[in-house]
Amino acid sequence: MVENRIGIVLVTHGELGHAMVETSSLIIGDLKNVTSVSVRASDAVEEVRDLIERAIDRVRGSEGTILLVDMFGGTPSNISLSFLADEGIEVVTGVNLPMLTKLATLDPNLKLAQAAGVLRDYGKEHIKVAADYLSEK
Amino acid sequence: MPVVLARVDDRLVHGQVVEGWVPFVHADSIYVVNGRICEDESRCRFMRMVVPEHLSFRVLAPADLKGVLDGDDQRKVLLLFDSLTDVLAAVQAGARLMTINVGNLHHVRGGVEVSPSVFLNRKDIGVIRELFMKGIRIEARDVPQGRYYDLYHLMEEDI
Repeated sequence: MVENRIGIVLVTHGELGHAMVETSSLIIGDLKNVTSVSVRASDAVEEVRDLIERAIDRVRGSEGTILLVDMFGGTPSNISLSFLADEGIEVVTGVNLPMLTKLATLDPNLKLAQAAGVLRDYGKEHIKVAADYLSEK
Repeated sequence: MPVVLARVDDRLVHGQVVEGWVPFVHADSIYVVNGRICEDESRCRFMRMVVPEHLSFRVLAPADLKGVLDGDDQRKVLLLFDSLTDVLAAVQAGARLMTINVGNLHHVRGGVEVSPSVFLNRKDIGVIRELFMKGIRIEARDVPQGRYYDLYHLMEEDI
């Protein structure tokens, strides 16, 4: 479990992050150290920064916090990247549901950067074209 | 250098621009017209990071825009400003712009709501009048397929 060591903040367009967290809890149960920030078209950059800052404070663990964002190059991602200068922050882009379900079984001894790498790899591995998958068998 | 879009957007390079406008106007370069943001080196670096590799990218001061547009480079450029004031500064320095698209000017600066993402304060309104008098059309539109409003006429009617 990553609880208390690594905090997770989803930063996404609209309610996407909320919905992903809610959905993942149906699959793996509630995770205490996970929260989400919704970025709306009407939000100013300063407001979003503030929301992310408060979310990080809510879930921060001893090892730091990973920001999971929906799309590299989008506003949620752009603003999240600006937190990289802070100590104990890592950003992973292209968040998907498999990444969230992986949180339940993440090795508790991982450093922040290693945990981020594991989530990235897990998210990537779970993107399949069904036909390719069948032909491998 | 041909300008395919001149946009005011306080988020500068982001999804609406890269995923929406760049393919819509067939831009092959993005130039950010801003004299301040590169004072913050990390902000400048992150912005460069999110520009797709096939596009050329540059940050230049409003006063230098004329020289760049009058040059021989035939790449189609999408210009980004984070304020109407910088547009006016570039135009006053001689840059020829026909139409300005206003995408995002958020409410933190105060002002009147034109759309959920465009608010105009007193200063903006003065700038829009001045640009209009120079024959420049100013429309508010967030994404290419979105509705658009002629800001000068909207202002004269409603504000």
